[in-house]
Amino acid sequence: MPWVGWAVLIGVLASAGLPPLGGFVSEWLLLQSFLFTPGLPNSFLNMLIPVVAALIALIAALAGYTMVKFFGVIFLGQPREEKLSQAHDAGAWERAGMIWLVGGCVLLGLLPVQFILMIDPVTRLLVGAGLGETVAASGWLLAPVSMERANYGPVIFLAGVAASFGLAFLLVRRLYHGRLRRAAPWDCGYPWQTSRMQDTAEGFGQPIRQIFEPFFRSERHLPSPFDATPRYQVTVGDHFWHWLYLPVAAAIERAAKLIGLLQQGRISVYLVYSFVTLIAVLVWVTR
Amino acid sequence: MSLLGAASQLLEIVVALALAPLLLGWVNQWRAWLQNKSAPGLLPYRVLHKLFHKDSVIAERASPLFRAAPYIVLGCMTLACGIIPMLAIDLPLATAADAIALVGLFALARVFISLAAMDVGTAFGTLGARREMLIGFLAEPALLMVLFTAALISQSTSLTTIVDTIAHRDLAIYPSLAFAGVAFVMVSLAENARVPVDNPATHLELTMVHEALILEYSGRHLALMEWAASLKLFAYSCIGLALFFPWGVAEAQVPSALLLALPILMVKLAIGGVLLAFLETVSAKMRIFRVPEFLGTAFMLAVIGMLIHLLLET
Repeated sequence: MPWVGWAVLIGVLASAGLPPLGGFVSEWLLLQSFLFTPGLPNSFLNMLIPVVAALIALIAALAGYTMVKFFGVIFLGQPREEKLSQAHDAGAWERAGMIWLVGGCVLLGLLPVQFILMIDPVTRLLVGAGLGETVAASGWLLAPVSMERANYGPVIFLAGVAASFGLAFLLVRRLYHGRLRRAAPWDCGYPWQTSRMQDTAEGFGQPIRQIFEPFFRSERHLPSPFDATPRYQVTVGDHFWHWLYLPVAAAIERAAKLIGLLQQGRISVYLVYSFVTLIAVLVWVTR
Repeated sequence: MSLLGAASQLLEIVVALALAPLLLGWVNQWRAWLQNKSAPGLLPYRVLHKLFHKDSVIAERASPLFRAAPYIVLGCMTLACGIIPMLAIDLPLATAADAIALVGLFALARVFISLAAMDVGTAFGTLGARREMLIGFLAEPALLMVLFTAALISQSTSLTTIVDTIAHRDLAIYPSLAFAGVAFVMVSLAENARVPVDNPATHLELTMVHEALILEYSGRHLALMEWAASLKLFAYSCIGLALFFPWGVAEAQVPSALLLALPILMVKLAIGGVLLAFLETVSAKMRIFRVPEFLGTAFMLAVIGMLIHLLLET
C-alpha cells in the first residue's frame, strides 16, 4: 500500500512533533512561551513554569514512541493475520482525501510565518495581542521575540537535510557503486522466521506499561513455558476509576436506595404523602 | 551571511564528517588500552572503506523506507553537526534551528532508524526499535531540560547566542550548570549507545539496542549508519563542549581565529574521549529496566539544575 503508507508516514511524523512538519511548530512555540514567560508576579509560579515545560517535553517524546508503534505495527513488517495480506491500496478519491491532509501537515510546517499572520486577527480579538508584527519582520524565519532570542527556519532545515541526503547518495554512487542484492533477512541467522514472531501493538507498548506500572491497575496472566495452548491476558485499569469514580458511584447508589424506600408503588401511600405534606404546609402557614 | 561565515560553516561540516570516525576510534583505542588490549585507532576508517566497497544485501521484503533511512539519518546528523557552534559562532545554518529544533533533529533520526528496523519484520528489529524508542523517550526530555538551563542563563535558545554568552562570562562555577553537566553526561551515554545503557561491542540478543536496529543492514547502507552513529557521538561531544567548555571557539571574523579553533577543539575532544573510555571501563552494562531509573535520575538532575538557576542565579 505505497500511497496510504507514505501519506500516513508524513502524518505520523507531523503528529509525533518532528521537524520540519506542522506538529513541531506548535510544540516549538509552546516550549518557547514556557521558557521566556516574562516574570509572573508570584515567584513560586515563575518556578513552576519550567517544570510544566518539562512535562510537555516528556509528552512530546511519548508522542514519538506512540507514533512509531502505530506506523511500525500497522504498515511495516509482515502481516500477522491472513486477511491483511490481501490489503490493497487506496483508490483515486481516497488518495485525494489523504493528500490534502498531507499538504496541510507539510505547509503548516514549512510556512509557519504565513499561517501565524493568517490567524493573527483572531488572537488579537481574543487576547488583545498577537505575534503578527514581530513574526512578519523576520521573513522566512520564525522568530517570535527577536532573532537573538530564538529562531527556527523550517525551509532551511528541510533544505539542509535534503541536500546532505542527495549529496551522500550521489557521492556514494560516484565514488563506490550501487550494487544491491536481495536475500532472505539475516535476523542473527535464524531462518524459520514467521510473522508471529514480530511485535504486536501489545508487545511494543509493554516497556512503557512496565515502567509506569504504579500509575495503572494492571493484571497480567502469563502462560507458563510448558503450556501447550498458551494464552496471554492483560487488563489495564485506571487508579482514578477505583479511587474516585467507583466510591462516588457507590455513595449515589446508597442514597438512591434510601430514597427508593419512599417509593412503595401503591396509590394509598402516595395519598398519605400528599396529605402529610398538606398538613405540614398548613401548619407552617398558619403559625 | 558573510563569505567567512559560509567558509566556517563548510569547514565545520567537513571537519565533523572527517573527524567523527577518528573520535570513535580514539575512544575505542583507549577502552582497549584500559583493558590491557591493543587496538588500531584508525579502525573505523578501515571499516567504512571496506563496507563501502562491499555489495549491499537487503532483505527480500524490505521497502524503499529501509533503503532511504541511512541517507536520512546521515543527513540529520550532518545538519546537527552544522548547527552546533564547535569552531565558530558565525554560522549561516544556525538560523535554521535552535536548541529545541536540534533535539527535534535527533528525534527525527531516531524515528527513522526505528521504523527502518521494523520494516523487515524480524524479531530482533522490532526488539531494537522498541528499546531505542524507550531510551529515546526517556532521554529526550532530560536533554531538553539541560538545554533549557543553558537557554535560561543566556536568555536565548539559539545555540550560537548560548555559546557566546557562556564564553563571555567571568570564570565562575554555576551550580545549575554543574547539575546540568552531570545530567548531560548521563543522557549522552544513553543516546550514543555507550556502556551503562548499551554495549556497542556485543551482539548478544539480551543486551543489544543499537546493533539490533542496524542488524539487517550491510554494505554501503551499514557504512552510512555507522558513520551517522559516529557523527552522533561527535555532535553530542560538541554540544557538551559548547555548553560547558565553550572557550576557544572563534568569535572574531578572521580566518586565523578559525584555524586556531580547530586544534583547540581536537584537544578538547581528545580529553573528552579519554574520559568517556574511562567511564565506560569502570561501569557495567545495566539491565534494560534499570535504564528508566538511570535516565529518570538524569531528568531530575536537569530539572533541579533549572530550579537552582531560577532560585539562586536570577
